[in-house]
Amino acid sequence: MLSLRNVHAAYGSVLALRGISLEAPEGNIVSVLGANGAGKSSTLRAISGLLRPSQGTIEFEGKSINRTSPEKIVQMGISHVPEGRQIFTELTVMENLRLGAYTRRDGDAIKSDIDRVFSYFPVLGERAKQQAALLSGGEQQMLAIGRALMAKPRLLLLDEPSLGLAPMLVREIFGIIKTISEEQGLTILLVEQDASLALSIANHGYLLETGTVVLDDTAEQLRGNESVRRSYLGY
Amino acid sequence: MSVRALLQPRFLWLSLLGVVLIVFPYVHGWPLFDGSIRNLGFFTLEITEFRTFNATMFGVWLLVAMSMNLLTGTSGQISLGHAAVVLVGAYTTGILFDEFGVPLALAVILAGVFTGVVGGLVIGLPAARLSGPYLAIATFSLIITLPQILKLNGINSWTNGALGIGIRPVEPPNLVNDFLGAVTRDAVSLNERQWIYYVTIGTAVLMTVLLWNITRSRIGRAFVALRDSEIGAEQMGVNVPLYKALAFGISSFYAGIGGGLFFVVQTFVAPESLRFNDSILFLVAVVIGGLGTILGSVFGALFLAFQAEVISNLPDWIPGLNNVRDFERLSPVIYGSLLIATILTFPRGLAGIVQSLLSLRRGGGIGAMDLPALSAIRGTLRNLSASLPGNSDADDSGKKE
Amino acid sequence: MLAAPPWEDPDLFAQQIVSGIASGSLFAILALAIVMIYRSTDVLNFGQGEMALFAAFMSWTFLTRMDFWPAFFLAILVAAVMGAALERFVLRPVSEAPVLNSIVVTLGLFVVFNGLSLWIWGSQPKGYGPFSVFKGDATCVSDVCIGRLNIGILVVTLIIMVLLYLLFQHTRLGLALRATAQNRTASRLVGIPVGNMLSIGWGLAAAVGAVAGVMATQNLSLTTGTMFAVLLFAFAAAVLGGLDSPVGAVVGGLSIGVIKNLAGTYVPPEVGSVDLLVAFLVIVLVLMVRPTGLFGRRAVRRV
Repeated sequence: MLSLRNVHAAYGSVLALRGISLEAPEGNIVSVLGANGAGKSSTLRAISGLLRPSQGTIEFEGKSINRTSPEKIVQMGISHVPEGRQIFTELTVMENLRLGAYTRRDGDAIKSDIDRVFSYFPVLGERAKQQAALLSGGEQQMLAIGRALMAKPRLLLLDEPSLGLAPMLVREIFGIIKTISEEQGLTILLVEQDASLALSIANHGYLLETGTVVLDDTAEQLRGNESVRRSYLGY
Repeated sequence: MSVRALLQPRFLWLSLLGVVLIVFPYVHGWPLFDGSIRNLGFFTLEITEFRTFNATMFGVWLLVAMSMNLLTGTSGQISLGHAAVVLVGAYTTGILFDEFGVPLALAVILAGVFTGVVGGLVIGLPAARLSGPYLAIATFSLIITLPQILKLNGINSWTNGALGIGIRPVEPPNLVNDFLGAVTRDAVSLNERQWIYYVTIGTAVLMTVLLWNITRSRIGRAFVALRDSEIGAEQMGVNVPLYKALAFGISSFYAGIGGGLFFVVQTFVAPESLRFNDSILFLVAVVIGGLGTILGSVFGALFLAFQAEVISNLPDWIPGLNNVRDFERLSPVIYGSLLIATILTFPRGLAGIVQSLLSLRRGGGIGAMDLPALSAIRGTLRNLSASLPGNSDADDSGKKE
Repeated sequence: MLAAPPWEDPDLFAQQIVSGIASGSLFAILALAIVMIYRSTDVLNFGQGEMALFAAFMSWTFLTRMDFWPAFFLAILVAAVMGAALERFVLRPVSEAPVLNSIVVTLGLFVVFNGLSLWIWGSQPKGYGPFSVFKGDATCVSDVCIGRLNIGILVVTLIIMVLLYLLFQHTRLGLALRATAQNRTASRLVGIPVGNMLSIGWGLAAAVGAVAGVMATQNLSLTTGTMFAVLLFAFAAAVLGGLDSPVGAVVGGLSIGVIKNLAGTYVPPEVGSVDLLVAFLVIVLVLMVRPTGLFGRRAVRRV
């Protein structure tokens, strides 16, 4: 469904990606692991069009999206839940969700999709009319995911959904992510610092170091891999 | 000073410049420049006596441009009210002379000090708390309002209201002409124009040297640090409010002296002598000249001294412009467009272009340049875009890995 | 001669309040345009007043071919297109550059539009005179009167505010505009064409400013110097209300109008004219005491 081949990208003169290649097959949860600065977020930014690759190809459902604008990419079916959530804090929860469906024109379906998001995250339904700034960190993360789902994506890019959240909340959110993936057949590319958590729900994993893929295997194999265990799983 | 130092190219160039500045008021009488060689294309070598006045105003504008450039180019503080500060300098000189009988030379110096203190304390200290757009509004409101303040009846006895203050042209002291007469056996004497030329140019040269030293001192480095990043400056131990006030203070001192000389040279000042448009013109001058360098200020002063004349002569030089009706009225459109074009395409201005060319010739390459202007642009870019509230925060945080 | 204090001549006082609200609503509209642009693009548009003036001159020219209202709407339409084009071609290239650069560019716009107006229409004051639709007797309640023009200004202001409110709060476009003003990265990620939104925002602000320009020059005269003072009052209004608050711009504008009129009436004439001084003092006072203004939220200090 998604494939990156030898993708390079830079911020000004600082090279962030030095030849990333990865695949995300339909219906899978693929996890991207690595330390800070390894290029995990940049990979997602390159896919969603925020960062333009200088070299290599990014294909989504067989079409190259290297030079496609972020707006078009959303329309094609890729939603990005960015690092730090980036919700619209001055708008209400409802307005955030409606913006998530900005590229869609099917009014009635949007309404029922909002209800579906509320069924995944009931607390958002309770706070629909509140300003998003008033939500807790976990609720903001739920809103960010909910907003991304509103675009009816076939591929969801999730950047560090666990960041700054209590472990219990993290487990709850990951449970919901897994459910959504299964129910809707959604493909998910998950960037996560917490490797054990990520590998617990992923089918496949990529390990990034300084902008390149250094290891690539099934989640199960990675969990058993000695060096992964020592460096990223911590036991 | 060793002989070797005297033979350095920089010293030779500066000496040559010195000689040119000294003989300039007499050049119009010399054979080569008296108009006998005309029409070298659009260029004539004729130098009229009026050029002495032009050159004198160049000295005044140099002080103003340096003042503006120190504040905006070197220290990164925006001021749209700079014409107001210059106007205060001019009025202070006028009032001290007219009302209190202070000798003119002393009045100019006192005006500089007064303007400097006022600029530092009354504008600088409060400004330390304000970010760019707010500072811009505050200084904008100052220049728009100042004429009305100057016309208030309460201070009419000092300012003469809308009529303004006038003086007679300053005559050279007898001492000077007696001395010159004795030395040259009466071959040389100074008239009013030549005398004020030497005074103004002398002051401008002195203050340029002073500014050169300031920008290379601890204070100058603190200003640059302030502009590049206030947080960075704070971490380096720079007292940010103090140095902001100091930047405004020194800049206002220069503007005050410039204003004082403006008054003396023009022999007149009124509430509308300098207006908002002039403030913008000062900004145009230092942006086109080059932000953050003394060379930029020199180019800026040349612009201020000659822009009106050049624009009014354009139709003679460029065929087709003759057919444009009221061409002179287009001058604000021209310099406004020039301003926008410079910022969009070459934010380092003329001085930046010259310095790039020089360093290329020396074989240093762009990367090897030690350019205040270059770091100016880089620095302001970094610092100011990071200081934008709201959107850019979100944008920036997204870029981090 | 000193004006009688309010308790001796309440009608005079009421009259000044009413006229103040009318002229204040002009400042409010222009301040609204400034605030709209500042919110959405972080640019402080010093050219706003002169762009408005240019639009007013255009409407005056259109009057030779058509009636007042068609000329009015045509001028606003042209202003909107110009505003959008300016954002796209002049402002966007400096959007990543320092604040100083964008301010310098808008100062360039100020000079260019003022110069163009002078070049095209000359320095002779123009009047709408016979074309104006705001003629007729003043409406009076006891001794407090309000002229047709002031009624017109109030009605137009009210209509603009209602339209803007509906646009921003109840349409998809308005929601996207608000989202873009807040967080551009997030807006891109939900599929909003951010560049178009910025252009639309500038176009919209230019249109609102144009209304202020046309109405202001109905009231004052139509010359190239007219908008300097109006811009100062609009800035005072925006600062008083908070640079990022549309509600603040309106409240600030009306307050500045009233304060200005009261000062004009009750400051003894021996002092001299003080209208600009009042705006200056308001700006300085607000920036010293409460730089975010009455309704503003964003941090003013550089961090």
